[in-house]
Amino acid sequence: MTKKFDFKRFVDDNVVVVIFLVLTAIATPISGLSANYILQDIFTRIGRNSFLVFSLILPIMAGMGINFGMVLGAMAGQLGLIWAVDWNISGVWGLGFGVLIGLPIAIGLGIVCGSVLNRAKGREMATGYILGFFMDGVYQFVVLYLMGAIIPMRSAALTLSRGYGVRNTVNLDSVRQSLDKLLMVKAFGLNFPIATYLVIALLCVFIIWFRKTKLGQDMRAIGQDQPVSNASGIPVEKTRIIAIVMSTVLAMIGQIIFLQNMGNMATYNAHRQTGFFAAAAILVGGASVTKATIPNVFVGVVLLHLMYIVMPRAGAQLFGSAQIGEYFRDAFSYGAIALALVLHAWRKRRGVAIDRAGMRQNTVDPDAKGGVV
Amino acid sequence: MSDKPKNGNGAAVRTRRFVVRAAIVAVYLALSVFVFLNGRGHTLLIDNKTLPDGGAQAFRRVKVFIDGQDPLEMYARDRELVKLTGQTHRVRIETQEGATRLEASFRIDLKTDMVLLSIPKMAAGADDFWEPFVVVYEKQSRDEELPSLDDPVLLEPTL
Repeated sequence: MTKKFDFKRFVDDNVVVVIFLVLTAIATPISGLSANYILQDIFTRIGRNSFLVFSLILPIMAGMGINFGMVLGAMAGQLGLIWAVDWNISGVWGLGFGVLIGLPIAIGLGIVCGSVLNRAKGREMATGYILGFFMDGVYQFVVLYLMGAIIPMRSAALTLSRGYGVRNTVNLDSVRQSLDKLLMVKAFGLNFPIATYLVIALLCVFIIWFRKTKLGQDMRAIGQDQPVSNASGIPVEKTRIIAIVMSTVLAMIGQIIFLQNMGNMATYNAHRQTGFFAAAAILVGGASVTKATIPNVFVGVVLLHLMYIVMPRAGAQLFGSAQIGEYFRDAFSYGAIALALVLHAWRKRRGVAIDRAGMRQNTVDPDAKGGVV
Repeated sequence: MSDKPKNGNGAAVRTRRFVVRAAIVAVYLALSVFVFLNGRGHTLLIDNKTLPDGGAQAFRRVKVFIDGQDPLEMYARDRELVKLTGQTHRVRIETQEGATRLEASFRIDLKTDMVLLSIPKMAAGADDFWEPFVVVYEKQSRDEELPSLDDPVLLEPTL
């Protein structure tokens, strides 16, 4: 039996995606940017941001919502890159070295984050967000006071003139776009960073494979119902910590990929907005705090960044000031997160109401979305 | 019936776990060393200048090949900069002027960031044709503005 396509239901389920589509569809022609320019920027940004956004999938799968604690992984990646640049490890080797240095730091921070989140069940997102702020202070202490004073630094070009602490901006020339340019293919007048895409594709394959493993199945079970999972012998707390550790490690690698594309690093704030942008992207892509898929990541990255590209120019064309466009895009990004969270809460309540009504009448409408959405 | 392994089994599991963890740490360290050694970058300055003591004359025109990179065409009194990765490198020259040696290898130690290589000296057959080049950074007269505790840095998105 084929189901009839219900347009209203489709819009209802994908309201965030639809809003972003409409907004960008209006803003794109107003911006006056050429299709070639927009496409090139989109392809670059897919390579730059997708990995970071992918790091959010596993905690969502494990029922922990959006891991705003991923900024911890971003910090670990930055520390790895600082050492790679300090020791002048160049090219893809430098990225590899950054990953190797960042790996134990990310694992350690992930364990800390996971343990804290286990003590704040049901409030993981807010806790992760605040934990990110706390660890930002620790990161600043390490980078601003310990590096060069207690932690040895070689490069005078990297150190503040007082003799310790890392400069506000780190030049990543030695690793700049080394992954992107490893296999750059030109086609249709556009550049495609194939090596970066291959790394992202590898991660997609890993996620697909991982979902089928015992650990992946455990995470999904925990995401659906923690008490039942616990009763069936799944080590809930340990599995949740593993999910956060994996997310933190992926965020660490994602931040390194992001920064190698940018070519420089704002030492003290490059990581701050990482969680917010990644969360906005995955939510704009149609994910919720309980369900996220690989297509959600790509749709989200494309839509969010399409808006980032066209909005400032559209603002400049409409109001004579690109700054207004910047405000627009910030407002819509935060709005996307707020809307997705509100919708999730509303759907959850509606689902519970539908379930209750069904139980009262002893019938459950198969098309109605009850329970956890 | 208890699910717990008996003492003997428990010890075996612990030993196996220890061995696996030790192997992971060993692989991690080996990989780090491998990446460090292969990725360590150096800056190579190539000089085509007559030596101060007149021991070797600069070439009017010389082609310099460093490892597998594109050749550099150098004229008298030229200095070029090349970025290299790894420790051992090969330099080869092509010239129509007289040269005792056309090819040489050299190994830069891990601590050295920058090296100055003299083409005339190499061509003359000297072994000390390269030397470490140290850049001395001058301390700035005024300290950079440090992030304050209230507002460590501007909250500018980096996307």
